[in-house]
Amino acid sequence: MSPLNSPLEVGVRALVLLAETFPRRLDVAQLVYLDHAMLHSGDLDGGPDSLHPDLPVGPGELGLRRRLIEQGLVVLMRAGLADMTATAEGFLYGATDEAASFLEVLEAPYLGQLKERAEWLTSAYMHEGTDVRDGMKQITQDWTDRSRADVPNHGEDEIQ
Amino acid sequence: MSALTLLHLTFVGPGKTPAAVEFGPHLTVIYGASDTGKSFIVEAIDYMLGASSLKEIQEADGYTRILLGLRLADGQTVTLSRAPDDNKVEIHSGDVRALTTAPPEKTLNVRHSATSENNLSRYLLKLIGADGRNLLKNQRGDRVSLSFRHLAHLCVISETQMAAPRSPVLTSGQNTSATAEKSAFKYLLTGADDPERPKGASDVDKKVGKGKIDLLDQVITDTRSSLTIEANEAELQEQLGRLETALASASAAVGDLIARRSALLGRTRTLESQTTGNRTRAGEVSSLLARFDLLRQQYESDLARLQMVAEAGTLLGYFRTGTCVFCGATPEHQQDGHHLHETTQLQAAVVAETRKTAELHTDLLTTIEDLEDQLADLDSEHAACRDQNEALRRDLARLDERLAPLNADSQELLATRSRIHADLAVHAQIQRLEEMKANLQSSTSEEPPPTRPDGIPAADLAEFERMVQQILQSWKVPGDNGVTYDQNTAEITVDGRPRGSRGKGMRSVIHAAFSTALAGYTAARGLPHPGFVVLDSPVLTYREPHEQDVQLTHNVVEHFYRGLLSDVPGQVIVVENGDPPRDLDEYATVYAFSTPGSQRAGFFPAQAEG
Repeated sequence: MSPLNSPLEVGVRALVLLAETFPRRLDVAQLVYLDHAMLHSGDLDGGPDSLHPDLPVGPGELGLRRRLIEQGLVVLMRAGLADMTATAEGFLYGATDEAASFLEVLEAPYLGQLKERAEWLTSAYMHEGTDVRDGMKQITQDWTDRSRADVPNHGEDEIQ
Repeated sequence: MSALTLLHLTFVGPGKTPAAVEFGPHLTVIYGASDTGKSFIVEAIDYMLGASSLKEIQEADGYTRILLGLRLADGQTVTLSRAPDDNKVEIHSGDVRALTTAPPEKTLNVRHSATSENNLSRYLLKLIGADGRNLLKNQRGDRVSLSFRHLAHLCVISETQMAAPRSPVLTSGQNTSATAEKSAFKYLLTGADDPERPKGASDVDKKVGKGKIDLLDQVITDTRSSLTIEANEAELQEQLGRLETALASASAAVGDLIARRSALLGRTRTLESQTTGNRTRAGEVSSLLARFDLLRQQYESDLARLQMVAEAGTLLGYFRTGTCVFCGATPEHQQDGHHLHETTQLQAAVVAETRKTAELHTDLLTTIEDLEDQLADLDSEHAACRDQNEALRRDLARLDERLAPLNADSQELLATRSRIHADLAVHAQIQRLEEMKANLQSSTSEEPPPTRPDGIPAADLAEFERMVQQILQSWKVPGDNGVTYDQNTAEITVDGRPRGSRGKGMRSVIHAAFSTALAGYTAARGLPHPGFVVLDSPVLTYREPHEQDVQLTHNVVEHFYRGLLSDVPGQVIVVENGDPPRDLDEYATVYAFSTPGSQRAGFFPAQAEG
């Protein structure tokens, strides 16, 4: 199993997000969307540079991310870094008290960059009731538009 | 009308009574005793025509100019004026018979020059239409420019020449001049001078040349064998013209098709890049669909798990794997009701989570559907591209089918053209070789070259010989008078006996016949000739003792003068000791010097003793 996009790596990313939004709690769908936004912050208005390159099948990551996030959350919960509560908004996950000290121990520069973007997302971009559905639609729509612009000679299709 | 007619010869000097003789238009006879200036007249005429000197005689003392009146072919009159012992000749227009102070029309040098026209020789040659000709100078093929002096001795014959054993043609007696003298006679007889020719060759040159010719023959044969087309040069050129035309039209047809072909190819290329783009996107869309399908499965499995949690009323098993995330119990120790304290809100949470997940699932399905539509569009576009491509390929194939024979035709035409070019080059090469060979042959051939210095065409020579014979017969010279002229020795043979071996009388008569025949022959054929003949002592009745030859009777003299009247078209001046026929002055201009009852003592008037 590749260490990249392993449940551990994705779990740490989820923990960064949860620690940043603390005490607010997030559900899986929000985590999936925010994780994507954190890695591709360059696509958002006024966002910092994207940490991950724009791949041709960019949104394809979404296909795997949800599963990875769920696995990552299980890792976090086993380690006591996150917990889950069942509420009227669904299953919500939050960072535990141990999370902050755990994150401070990690020194990888990458982690710093993740924190910066998570900060930006929570302070400048996110606001109450960010609609994950719209976010997800936005991601796929953006990509579809971009890929159409990439391919000329599109017969009598559309003129950009 | 003859080229030139002599009008008069006049000696003038200050205080001197002019000494003059007028010449008739046809026959002039001056006869009389010796030492009366008869021969001096002939010599003076020669001097006026460019001879280098005139002997000094006592009677000529005090005369400072000699005048010779001439009528030209166009009827104009000019007078040549020359001082004794001077190498300049003045030309006056008109008939001048006295000392004149009028400036001459021009002053000419006597000496001939090939490069300058300012001399008497060229002036006279122009008048008789023989200027700018060349004679052969020697057997090596060197040439000399024709001078009037080369012709003078063939129309002005002094007494010495008349009877000399030497050929009338070879006047100088110099071996070095013989070739040019024979060439001059040939020129008068044919009107053709000697063209420039390759120099003659030595024996070694001939041997080498022979070898070269053999080699050249071999090379020419070899070269000929490399000709591929049975046609001469002109035919080849004509074929080439036709080919070029055919090629031009073939190229036009081919060019049109080629243009259409490249247009088709351009469209094919455009289509190919379109197809490539289409397939790239189709690949992207397909891989996206595959990823989204994973997400869909994830949503669906989440929904199934939520449903299970809702039915079981416990979160247990939601997290699928391993030990309990809540209490660390391994699956075999996990029990129903585990974490029930956590599940007060469970049903509401499951409903909310299910709703959210279902919405995302629906969105995803829409996206997937959209992508599948896109893929279908791409695929149909791709199919259309394929069809178009197929159509283009068919068009190209059809074009190529039409092009193939045209190209083959063009190829064949081009191949033929290059064959013709090659053959033309070979022909040119052969021609060069032949020219080289001809040059070698003309300089090395063993037999006499076709244009020998005295190479007079046989027919012309026979005609001339016949004319000499006719004149001798009309003069009643005894014998058959069959005449032959030997081109090598320039000797004239009459009735099998060379003129040089004859007696003085016969030599003179034959010489006179030769000269008058030459004048008649050239006149009849319109060939250049001065137009007059001056004969000094042609019919010597005086015979040397012991001379073994036919006797020239007075009968011959009589017929000689009559013959001159009737046979010769131009002007004839005869100087003779013996009396001419008595009735001659009815037809001719006759001067008698110092004969009983004659008007004149001689050419020069008796000078009053000072």
